[in-house]
Amino acid sequence: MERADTDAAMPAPRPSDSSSPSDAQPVLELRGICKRFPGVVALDHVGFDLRLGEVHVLVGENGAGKSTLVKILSGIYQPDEGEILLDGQPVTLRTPHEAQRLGISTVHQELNLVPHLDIGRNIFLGREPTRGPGGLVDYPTLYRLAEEQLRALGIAIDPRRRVRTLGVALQQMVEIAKALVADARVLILDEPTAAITAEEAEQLFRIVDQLRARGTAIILISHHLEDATRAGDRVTVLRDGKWVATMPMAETSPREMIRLMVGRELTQQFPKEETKPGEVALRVEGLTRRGVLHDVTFEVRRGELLGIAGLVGAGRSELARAIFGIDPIDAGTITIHGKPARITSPREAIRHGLALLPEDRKQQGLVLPLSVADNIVLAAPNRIGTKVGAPPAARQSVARRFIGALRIRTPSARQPVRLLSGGNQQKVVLAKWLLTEADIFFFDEPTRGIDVGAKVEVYRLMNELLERGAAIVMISSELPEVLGMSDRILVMRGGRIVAELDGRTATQEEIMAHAAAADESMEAIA
Amino acid sequence: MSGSARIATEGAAARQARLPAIGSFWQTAGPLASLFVLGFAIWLVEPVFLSQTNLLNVARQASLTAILGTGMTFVILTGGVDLSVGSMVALASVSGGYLMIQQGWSMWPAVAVMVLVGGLCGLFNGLVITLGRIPPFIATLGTMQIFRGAALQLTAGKPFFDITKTHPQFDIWGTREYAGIPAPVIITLVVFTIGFLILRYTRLGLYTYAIGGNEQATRFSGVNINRYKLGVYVLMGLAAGVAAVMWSSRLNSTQPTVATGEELNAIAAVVIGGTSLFGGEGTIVGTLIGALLMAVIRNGLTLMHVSAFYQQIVIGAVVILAVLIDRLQRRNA
Ligand SMILES: Nc1ncnc2c1ncn2[C@@H]1O[C@H](COP(=O)(O)OP(=O)(O)OP(=O)(O)O)[C@@H](O)[C@H]1O
Ligand SMILES: [Mg+2]
Repeated sequence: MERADTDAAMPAPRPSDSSSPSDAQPVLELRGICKRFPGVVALDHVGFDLRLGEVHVLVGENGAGKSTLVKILSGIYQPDEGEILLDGQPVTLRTPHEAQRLGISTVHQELNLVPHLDIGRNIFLGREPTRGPGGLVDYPTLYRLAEEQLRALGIAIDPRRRVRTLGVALQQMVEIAKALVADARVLILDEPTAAITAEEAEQLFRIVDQLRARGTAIILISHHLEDATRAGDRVTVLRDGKWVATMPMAETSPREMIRLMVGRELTQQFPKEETKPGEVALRVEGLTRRGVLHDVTFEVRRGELLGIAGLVGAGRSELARAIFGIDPIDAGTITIHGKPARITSPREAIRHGLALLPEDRKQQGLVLPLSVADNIVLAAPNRIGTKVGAPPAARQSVARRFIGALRIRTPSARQPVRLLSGGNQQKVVLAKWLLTEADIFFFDEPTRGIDVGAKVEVYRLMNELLERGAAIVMISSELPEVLGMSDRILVMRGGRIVAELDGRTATQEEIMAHAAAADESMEAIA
Repeated sequence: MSGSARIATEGAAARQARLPAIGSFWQTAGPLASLFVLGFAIWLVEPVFLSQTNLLNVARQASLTAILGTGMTFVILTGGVDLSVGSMVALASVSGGYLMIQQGWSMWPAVAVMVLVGGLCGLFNGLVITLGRIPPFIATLGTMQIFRGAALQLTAGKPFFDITKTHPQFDIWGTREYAGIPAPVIITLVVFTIGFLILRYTRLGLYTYAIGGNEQATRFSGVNINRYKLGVYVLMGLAAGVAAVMWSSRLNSTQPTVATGEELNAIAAVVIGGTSLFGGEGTIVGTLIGALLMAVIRNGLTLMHVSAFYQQIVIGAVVILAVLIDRLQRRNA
């Protein structure tokens, strides 16, 4: 049964003044591009062309080869075969620097900021404005320009703040600002909206529209087909590293794109099953962390999926972190299965049957050099051996079940997880927590970067957990997902719970109204 | 998750999953190839290199570095380093000499104490690093002085010679041969095998890699980081204790100045073996090859009558070269 409005496509205000992209000349063209990695053919004779003033969307399942294509275009990887033409001339892009010099600017899927530097310096890294004959960095100008760029993106933040102190969503916005100040002819955005909420995405797409009108050529990668439809002029579908189709956006639909990506029809986007909530699994009362969380009280029952919605910075991830013992709390009590619990470290949380899938997979979710198998078993040592032992064969056989179930695309269970595509890495983090013996799950943006087909499998796995009597708290910035899967929905704003809604009757508008209501509470925090 | 395999369509993911993965083998292939090429080259110039006596000699020379390198691999895999191992060997050594010569202990309890002293030194390092939250480099830079100072203080700076005169059995660890194989080589192989098994088959091994790869993510997974770090430094200490027994027996004396600078050889062996100094990546087999490679170079140059000064220059160059080759390999991956 499909209950939520799955087609969340926003009406696309297409700029009518821009020339129709179909008659524009290709600024960038790829011919017969191949790229192989040990055990993987990432790109298999892929052709692609990009015209001035168009937004060309690239879609495909996790591991289809989208980011590999991007990395070839930005000078990180060299193609094994094929040629790249820029303005009709063959070019070789040997280094990222060379690509930038030729006017290709990229926002990569993985964040690439220097955490100890402040926002302004990150944005202008390598192209600092200078002054005087000595070429001294002109910091006042740098910070002013950085602030302007961020404001254009709808972000009001001090550019002197260190990037380290920002959450993933803000880091993503800094990354986008960094690509924009380059003022490139070709702008590549690899899943720019995976980590941000609809609000910021809307702002980003407004800028994309402006750039397109100015003649910038843009490649956009997204698993949100609504974004694709909203912003794109043409779409190219990749599957298993092969080119499948290139179509004008106006002549296709999300449904057709999915069929071409996955190779089969997808009937249900949100396979929600009705369960009968049992007794209270977790009760949080008056939880307070000064300046971050204020008097948060809620409960979640066995067999219940509690969605938490809110804008970036509303305190959703912070709530999960506090309950999981990562951040200390100033006041409040936590009751688990009727017994009071004092949790001061993740280890104690896990011992109480809690699990937290963190929002930042690279920093908090994964051990990148470790194999897929070892990452999956890391939080559940009891599943793989004795008190001391952890034989590799056992680790791998446990992991292989999830590689199959979640369709993790990897040459083997022993592949270092850093070599997987972004979406497949996210699946590994999911598998890790699904394997634990936990019965109270906190999923913070669980499907970030996961393709449409695999999302359904993730929801199915959640259903199984609920059937087994687990309680799930799902923090998500994707409202269709929150609406489609939750039994109840909490809306947070400024570190408080401001509304509780019924999952069956709530609407996007209702959630947004609560999430963004006049922000007097923000001042209270500051 | 019993019924997790609910997916009807077997996608490309499953098809790809059957292709073989390469990885850990190639990590050690580079150093191994260098070892063979180098051995072959030396043999061309000095055929005596491949004689049984000489090869056993090389193995014996590699033993101290290999034993310490085994422990050092664990430490470096966690992203740490232990600069105090040379001093630990010295303190463990002289403790044994002191007990046997000065206090008249018999050999077995004295040897047990030597290993134990190593373990306690490691425990001390581990406590300073975990509870004191001092970076390993700084913590062990300090204990390097402390342990060496303690060794000198205990013996008033003087060595104990000729231990076999009072304890004739003491030569079993360092000079005797069993079925033609020198004792140090056997001890090295035993330590190496234990290290290999721990790293591959136990939780401690898994977490050693995990902590070095991403400590935060590992902590969020509920792993008791401090406990396993402590374990790693204790292992390092025990290895130093064993090395002390072997080495004192070989020298038939214990000296407070012994094994000075040995920490650097151990670190070099680990690095040549392809382990990342940032932690998280590497193998213990690589370390053994690294230790052998250094011994082969020294032996070969000695056979060719190259001065010890040049040998040092060459070893230094090899360390840099090994890391450079590793970098280049990684870039292609
Ligand atoms: N450096 C590498 N070494 C080995 N395999 C790699 C490497 N980079 C990518 N791959 C593999 O190539 C394939 C394509 O990866 P890519 O990152 O391009 O996928 P993607 O389409 O961007 O997927 P996602 O939607 O998950 O981001 C994947 O199977 C991935 O595991
Ligand atoms: Mg990608």
